[in-house]
Amino acid sequence: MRGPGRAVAACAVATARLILPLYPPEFRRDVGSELVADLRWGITDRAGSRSRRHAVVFAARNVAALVAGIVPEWRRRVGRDRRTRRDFGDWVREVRLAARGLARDRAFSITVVVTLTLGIAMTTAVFSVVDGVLLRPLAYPEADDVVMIWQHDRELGLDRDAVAVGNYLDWRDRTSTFEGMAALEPWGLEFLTDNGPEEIDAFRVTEDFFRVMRTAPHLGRTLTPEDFDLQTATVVVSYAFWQERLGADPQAPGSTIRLDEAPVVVAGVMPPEFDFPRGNAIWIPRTFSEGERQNRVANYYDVVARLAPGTALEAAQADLDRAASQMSAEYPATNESIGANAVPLPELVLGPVRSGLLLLLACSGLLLAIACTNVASLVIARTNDRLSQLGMRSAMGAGRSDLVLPQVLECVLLSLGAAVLSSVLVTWTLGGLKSIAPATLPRVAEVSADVRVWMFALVSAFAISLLVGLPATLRASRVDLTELLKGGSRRSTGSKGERARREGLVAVQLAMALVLVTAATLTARSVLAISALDPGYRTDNVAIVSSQIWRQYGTPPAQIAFVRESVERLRALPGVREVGTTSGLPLAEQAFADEATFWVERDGAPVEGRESSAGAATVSPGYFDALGIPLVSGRRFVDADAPDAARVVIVNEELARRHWPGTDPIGERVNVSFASAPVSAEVVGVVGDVRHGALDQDPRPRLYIPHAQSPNGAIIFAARTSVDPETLIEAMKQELWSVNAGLSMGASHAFSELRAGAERERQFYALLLAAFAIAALSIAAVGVYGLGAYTVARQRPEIGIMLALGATPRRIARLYLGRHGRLLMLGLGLGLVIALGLTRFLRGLLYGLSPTDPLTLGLSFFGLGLIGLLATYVPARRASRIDPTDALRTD
Amino acid sequence: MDPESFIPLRSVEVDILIAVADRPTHGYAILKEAEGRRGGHPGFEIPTLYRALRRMREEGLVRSLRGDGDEPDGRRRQYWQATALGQEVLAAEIARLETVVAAGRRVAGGASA
Repeated sequence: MRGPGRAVAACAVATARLILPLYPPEFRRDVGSELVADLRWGITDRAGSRSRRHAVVFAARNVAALVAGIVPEWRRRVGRDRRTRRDFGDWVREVRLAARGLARDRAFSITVVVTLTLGIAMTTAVFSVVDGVLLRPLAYPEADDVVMIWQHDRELGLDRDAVAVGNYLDWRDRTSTFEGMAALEPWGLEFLTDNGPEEIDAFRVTEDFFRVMRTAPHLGRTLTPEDFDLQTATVVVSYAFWQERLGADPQAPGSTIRLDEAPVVVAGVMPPEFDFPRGNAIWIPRTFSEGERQNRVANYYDVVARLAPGTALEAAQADLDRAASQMSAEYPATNESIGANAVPLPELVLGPVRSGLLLLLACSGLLLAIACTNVASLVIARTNDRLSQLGMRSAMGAGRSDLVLPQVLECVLLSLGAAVLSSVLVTWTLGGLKSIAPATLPRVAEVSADVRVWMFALVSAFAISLLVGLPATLRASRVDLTELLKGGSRRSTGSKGERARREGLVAVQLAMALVLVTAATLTARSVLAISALDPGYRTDNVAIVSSQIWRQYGTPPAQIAFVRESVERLRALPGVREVGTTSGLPLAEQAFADEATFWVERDGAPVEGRESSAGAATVSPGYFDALGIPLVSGRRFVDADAPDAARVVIVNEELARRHWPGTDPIGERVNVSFASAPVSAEVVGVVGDVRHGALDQDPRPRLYIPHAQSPNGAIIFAARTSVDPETLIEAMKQELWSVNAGLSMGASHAFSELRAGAERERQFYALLLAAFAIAALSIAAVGVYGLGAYTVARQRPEIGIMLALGATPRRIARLYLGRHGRLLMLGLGLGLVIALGLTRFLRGLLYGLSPTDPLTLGLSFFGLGLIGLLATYVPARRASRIDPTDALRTD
Repeated sequence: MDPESFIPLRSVEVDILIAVADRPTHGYAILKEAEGRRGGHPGFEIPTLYRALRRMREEGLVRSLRGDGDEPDGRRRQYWQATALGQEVLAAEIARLETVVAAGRRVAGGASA
């Protein structure tokens, strides 16, 4: 075309042609060429009749309008925006229709909602715990910069050993990468309660402590430098102490309380989340004397420090290593093999529980996956059922969005139902989880279902149902009516592809269910194995009362006399059969030294190079009887084993086996050092092995020393009772107070509580895994049943034909059992392979079993297989019962 | 369909109905007529016009016809014509505009073009 504006027109047309493909296809096909032609015409028209400038403006405006129309045109296409848009009333009607549709297919709806709820509720509950314990930042600001520094004793192979004062001070002064470094010393204080004096856990802390932790107090203030200078008795208390012992008095800061029978001023109260050291009630100022500053041997301090801003852990560790090697050179006698080991505080607090919690999260994720595949399978089946209905609607002019909208609404309604039910279930579940949570799980008390958790549940419910429902829905919206009519209305088993997809989903469900069932069985068997263990001592009918008597009885003779007198008086109590004391009780936290070093003596002298260590405790004569520890040979301690008599020890079987294999060690001698200088002693008895540290640890060599020959103030009374031990605790305390009214009582309870507490962690995980397994089992069984029922229903005509042609009902049943049996085998086999690979993550929880324990795997395999067969049995039976004439009469 | 439910019309829709009320008109002609009425600018662009035409066709206000190919470039043009419903809607809109104009004249004085 010749004429003015030709270039402009060509340009504009080319641009328009580029933009048009962005429009919906129908638009292009309908008016696309008209539009372009009119555009060209308009430009050349204006160029000719007015001016080139007009043409350019016209072109620009039209191209702009073309671009601006893309989105509205698509919206119009999808939303059918009629002049009267869908108003509120229309939406209400759509929702009501969708709800009615769901109510009609009650089995489908209920199954989907329940399945989703189970999966989401459990995952959400576990996630809340993981979030509250692991993910939530620690109470201390910038907690990642806080480290604990341990002594690394290369000779003894201890990399988290307590610290000596001299070393702490040197580390502090010789390094430059820490903003502050404080030492903490475990301490105990006596606090007068209405029930008598009680031992309160406390820590003495150095000046830097609160600066390092950087946590603001809840009330009042923390310790200031003045508190350390004057050594006036000022303390900071924990929130729990303030609540329980001070009645949550808001006037507490500045008030005076009596600790250790002396007045102290409470400077402030820490907030409830501040729990460092764990369970501590009172923080007391600590300064060091000149002598203490040089002490590099007595190591029982903890050291906590904060990295200087911008310092990496590696840099700080290198700094410490440098200081430590300087110290090794300067103090070879004490520090030759001592290094420093910095460990971030979050790692210490959360590290031990991380793997267990993540395991739980993974298992709940598995459960959720099982739930999702189940729902997906159900949706596919339902969509197939409605293909003809959808086809009809499409033929009558329903657009794609008209077909998709009801399905989307159904998904929304189902997920809303699941979310609501989940919320209820989660609250209930979370409460239960918190109550059975083991004490080793930190911060559990603060776990709560907060807004984030609800959002998680709601969003997961919605996302899952869309994810799972929409593909089937979209496929259905493309349904071709003619293709459907050709097939006959009942022949829609869906295509082969659909059937295979459903079977695949069921197989996957079975596999994952097997993994969960195997995990649950493994942990359950471990728990059972441990509770069946004989720890070597009795735990029933034993009452424990502890007391640190140092204050009242500071000298060895006083301590010996006290023990003798109190044991006698306690023994006289009604209901008490035998009483003994020990400095270290099995399964309890050790408040006193619990290791001894010793040399076996030959011909009156220690054998060179045969230094060994063993667990040790000082005990009174009645101890072994009280705890039911059997005497294997020799004799028990008696009153005659006194300070002025020959030194004696009793060893356990393990120690005897190791050092005098094959012979009776009675009469042999050892040179033993336990919290004092070494002495030579004769072995007079051998007692049974005990599991001292933890129930799942094999017995170690153990030494017992008569309290009278190595007195100390750490006295734990163990009384064997003929009645419920709880009922005697108070009487025992009263009796001890009648010996000395100022005695402060420590942990006192029935011994069986300790045993229960020791296993709580493993039981917690086992219980949860069992819950997951049961849920998984149920969902998978429903999935298998559902597939079977669906297939049989769809294939009624074929079954009718087979029956009419002479097949027996039994053969029909066997046919379906066989087909689904194969599916079961496939799914379970797959699960077995996966389980073999994954169960290794359970290793930490297992006892006496390997993660691939064949018996357990077999049990799970056949157990699940049996349930699966049962689930297919019902539909198979129904298939065999079909009346052929009835079946053939379909449609 | 109640003509009243289509009121008020967008301005491009009014222009379209006026142009196609009594005889079939093609797209560019509608544009030219509106341009003439307003003296220079039609008040809408071509894409807007075609989008409105398609919308109105769906709503049953206009129908589209194919011409018989007597164009300079030989292609068969698409013509648009108002349906009975479209004419009723146009009448209703005109009536509405008249009341608006009358009310406006009373208030704003009567300056007419």
